[in-house]
Amino acid sequence: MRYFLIVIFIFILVIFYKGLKKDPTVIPSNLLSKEIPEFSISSFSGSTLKTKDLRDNKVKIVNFFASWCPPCKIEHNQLLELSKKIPVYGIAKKNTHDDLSKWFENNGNPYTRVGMDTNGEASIEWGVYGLPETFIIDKGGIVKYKHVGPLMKRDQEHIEKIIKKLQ
Amino acid sequence: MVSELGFVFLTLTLVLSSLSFAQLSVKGLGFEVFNFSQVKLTNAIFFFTLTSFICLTYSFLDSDFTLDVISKNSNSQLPLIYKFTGVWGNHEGSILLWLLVMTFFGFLFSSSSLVSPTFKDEVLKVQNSLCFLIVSFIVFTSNPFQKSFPPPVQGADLNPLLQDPGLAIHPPFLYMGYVGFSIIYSISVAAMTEQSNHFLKILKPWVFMSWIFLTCGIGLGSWWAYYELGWGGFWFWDPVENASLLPWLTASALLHTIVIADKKKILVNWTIALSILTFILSLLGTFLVRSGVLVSVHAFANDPTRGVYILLLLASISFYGIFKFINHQKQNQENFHIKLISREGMISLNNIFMLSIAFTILIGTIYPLFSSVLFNTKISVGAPFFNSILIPVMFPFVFGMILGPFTKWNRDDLLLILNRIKILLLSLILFSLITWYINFRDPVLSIIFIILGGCIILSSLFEFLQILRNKNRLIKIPKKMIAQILAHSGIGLLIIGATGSSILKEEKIQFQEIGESISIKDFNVEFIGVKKVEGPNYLSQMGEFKIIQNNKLLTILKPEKRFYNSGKQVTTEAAIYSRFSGDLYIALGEVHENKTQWTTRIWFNPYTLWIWIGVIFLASGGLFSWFNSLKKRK
Repeated sequence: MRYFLIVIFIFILVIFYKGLKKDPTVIPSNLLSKEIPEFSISSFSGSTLKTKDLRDNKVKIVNFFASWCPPCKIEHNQLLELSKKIPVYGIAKKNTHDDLSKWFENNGNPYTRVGMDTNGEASIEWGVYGLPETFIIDKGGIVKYKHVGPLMKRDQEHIEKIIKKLQ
Repeated sequence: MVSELGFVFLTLTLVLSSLSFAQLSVKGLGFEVFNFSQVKLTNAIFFFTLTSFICLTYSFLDSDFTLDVISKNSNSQLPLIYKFTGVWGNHEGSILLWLLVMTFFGFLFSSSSLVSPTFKDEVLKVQNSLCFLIVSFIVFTSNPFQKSFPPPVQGADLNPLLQDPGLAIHPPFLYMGYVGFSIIYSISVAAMTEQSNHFLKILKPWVFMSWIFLTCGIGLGSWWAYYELGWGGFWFWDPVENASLLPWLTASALLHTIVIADKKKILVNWTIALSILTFILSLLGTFLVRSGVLVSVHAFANDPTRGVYILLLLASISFYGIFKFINHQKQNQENFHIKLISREGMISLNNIFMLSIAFTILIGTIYPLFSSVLFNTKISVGAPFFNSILIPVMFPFVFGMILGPFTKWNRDDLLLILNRIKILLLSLILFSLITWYINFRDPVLSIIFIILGGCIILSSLFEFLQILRNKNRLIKIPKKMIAQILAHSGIGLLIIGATGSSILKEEKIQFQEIGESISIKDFNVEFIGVKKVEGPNYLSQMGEFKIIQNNKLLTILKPEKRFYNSGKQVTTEAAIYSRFSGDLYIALGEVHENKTQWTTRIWFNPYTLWIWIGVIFLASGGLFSWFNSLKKRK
């Protein structure tokens, strides 16, 4: 019995040791290395935004955001910068058209196209549980990278490197 | 210059403590070549650590930004009190405080005249060896006297969340508790070497003292989280909160067991095992906080080197204790039989419940790490898991607490006990029915828990009246009885407080217009407006809310959002109107784009005050036991 306890104790220590090499703040996505999920929502311009629109053989960024989300404001400048180099698609979660128009008027619009995820359906499909979240999609429509939280300046640089590689 | 001196003294601590470590290691290998006076060594180690700590404190007060730790965790604009408390508001300084407390306990133990010189020598050898492991960790991985080059003109500031009186005193209390268990470990290990049963009387006061400090430390941390974080709660099942609860639970089991061990000379091995386990769990807590293996609001820094070192420290101290214990137990088998219906039986049940709760919390806390390493999946274990496991355990636990104090030593009979406390039982039934009748609209679980908490308090009161009747005078009541009554009532108060502020809380989140009234419970909360206030090192947006009940103005609450100048950080200062029936709690959020509305979060947290009173009762109970054990030792 006592030796069994010692074995368990050693096992726990080994797990702790292995755990030291992992960064607990990195949250993986089930979508990584998989195709973008099926979804179809209305778009800001009045048409629809669906999975097919994102499969156009181009590397792109998909950003989940909302005008009511303060951290989204923090990353806005970084998105404006990125949009000069690569198409950025926005999916606005639970936002009204009016609020979004005001948001773009005040802060500028970095998005190629914006989907209106009014009921949060697309967010569920994409496994988004907080705002903002950002995905990088490669030419084949595969999710290559996910970032949770606002994109800071250093994240922008990191994302630019990934995009360069994918292009 | 002062900082250099600090490092020299720290190095001297390393050198001196290494002598004890070498002595212990060599002895472990079967040789005995060194012979130092451990008492003198301990005093010198304490003096050097204290001087080193004073040097670091002076450097903080002097805003010496040539030191890396000060440039990152202090600022010349910081109020003096926070420059002082900033010493332990970071990893390096706080671990030096850890060491200081550890050496202080060694020093205190060395001055005790009631311990035989050989036993004292043995205990101090272990304690100084523990100091060696900690000081080498400081010197090699977490040196607070590390220079920053080039030194900045201004420091980055202390984390604004830590610029608070609650947080200023929370860590020292917590460390006095955590590190207090080191001397308990040392005494137990030494007792195994010396094969002595006299250690129980020596051990007892240290167990109570460390437990009191840990209780206060956890209580203070919880109180801080309640009013500073602005989340409306007092306990979030955060890994670090859990880590502090683990040694508290095993220490609570220990302080019950040590009573039997001392009185009946049984369960002595179990007392040793609990002492070792409690210190191991304290170290585990330190590992979880300092290594960054888990996501927590407390995480200091994610530094694998430090993590590996603490893991080595945890492994070596644990293995040393466990191997010593296994050998000791082989040679000292205890043969005894405990009847379930007896005081010993009830205390054993208490141990089983305390350990089951600790084990459950341990599993819930480290499971995310296991899942990440073994299955590469990230999960988080939160309140629903802990509540669903703990709630069923509470029932037998509370029944044990009610019956335990009325049970006789050696052997008793359930029917006889019930007969002895028939008046109490009748009052408990009556109390339960009345409580149910008054609160029948509330969730069933809340009514049950308020009844359980109330029953514990009533039974403690009954016990008190019974003893008072027998002894006639208050002064004649034994301290250990007062201790038990206070501590058990404290648990009752805690259960009621926790139930009220979790199950029964009401919450309203809204955009509130200036001039608008929000009603919650039987209060009207009228938003007067927001004004700008300048603090010593921050700018504050201070909201003002009239609290009105039955058209009568009770008070004006002023929650704040503070913008700290140097770190560009924002903190929430909740405003709380506290009464026995509950707390009205307001946190101010963001301003709406129209500038006339603000996000306001208003809670009514029933019975929250009872939690803090419960903690005071628990600590007071501990104090009585402590005094009692100090007196009995003589």
